[in-house]
Amino acid sequence: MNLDSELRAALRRESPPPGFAQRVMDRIERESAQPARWWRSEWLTGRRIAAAFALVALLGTWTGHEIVARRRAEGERARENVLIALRIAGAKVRYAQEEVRQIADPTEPETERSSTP
Amino acid sequence: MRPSRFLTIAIALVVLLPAAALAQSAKLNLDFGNIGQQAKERVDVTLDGDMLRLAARFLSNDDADEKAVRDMVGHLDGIYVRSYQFDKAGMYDRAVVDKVKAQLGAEWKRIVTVEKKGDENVEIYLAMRNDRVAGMVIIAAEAKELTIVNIVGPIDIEKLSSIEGQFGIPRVTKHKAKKGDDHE
Repeated sequence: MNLDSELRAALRRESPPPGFAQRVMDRIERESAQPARWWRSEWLTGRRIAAAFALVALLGTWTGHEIVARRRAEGERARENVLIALRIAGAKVRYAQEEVRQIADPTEPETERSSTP
Repeated sequence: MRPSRFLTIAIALVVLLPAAALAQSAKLNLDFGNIGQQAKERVDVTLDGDMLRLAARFLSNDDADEKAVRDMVGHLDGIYVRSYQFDKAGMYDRAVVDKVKAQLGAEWKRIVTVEKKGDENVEIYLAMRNDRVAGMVIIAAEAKELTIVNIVGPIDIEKLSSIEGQFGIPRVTKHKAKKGDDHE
């Protein structure tokens, strides 16, 4: 047997065994439903959800801090204003009271009283 | 609307409206236009009930003075102060005082008037409802200064007068002027 006929025999055209095409299609179907691919898809979705949660939590925390800081500043300002307002009001009332006491008892020495604030 | 719900709303209105009206009646309009622009110094404080409650949360509970203020403002519905100091006498329109007085209705009673020529004139008015103080107005007018204070709610005058000089702010003494002295 010469080389030419050996090659011809080796490369001769052969039909696939019966059911080959069906087996290929079945395998493709099986592989498309493999758990590894399903797991990977879920994992990616989970990462996206976790990232979204983290972003929302971050924004929520920052907003919360901003609101608390603003509220605290407002409260401190309100506190200062209350003290100023009551000091002014108290000074005027005290002045009036002392003037009335003076009229009621002129012998009483004039006590210290506040200047106008 | 169900009759029971209608009844509930009606009762709420009957209970709440007089309280709101009372609170409103003691609050005056202290909008004086551009008077503050000519002032050397001005204090403009506007604190409604919500702001007072917020302020009360920031007043110390450990400090006795601040605790007293906290107890006082906790029951109030508003504190409004307009105080102006001017460089020269006659720099503000005295009609401002009349504008304030014109707002004082029948429930307002003048309890103190101090008039001293060339000195500070002070008038104190209280709004009374059912023998209880519902508000106070202080009008202090002198040549170079005008102060209007409007407190809405049950205010204790004795406690108020004791507040001045606290919080580390010393009272400025004012002695009787001796003959020849031209300063206070």
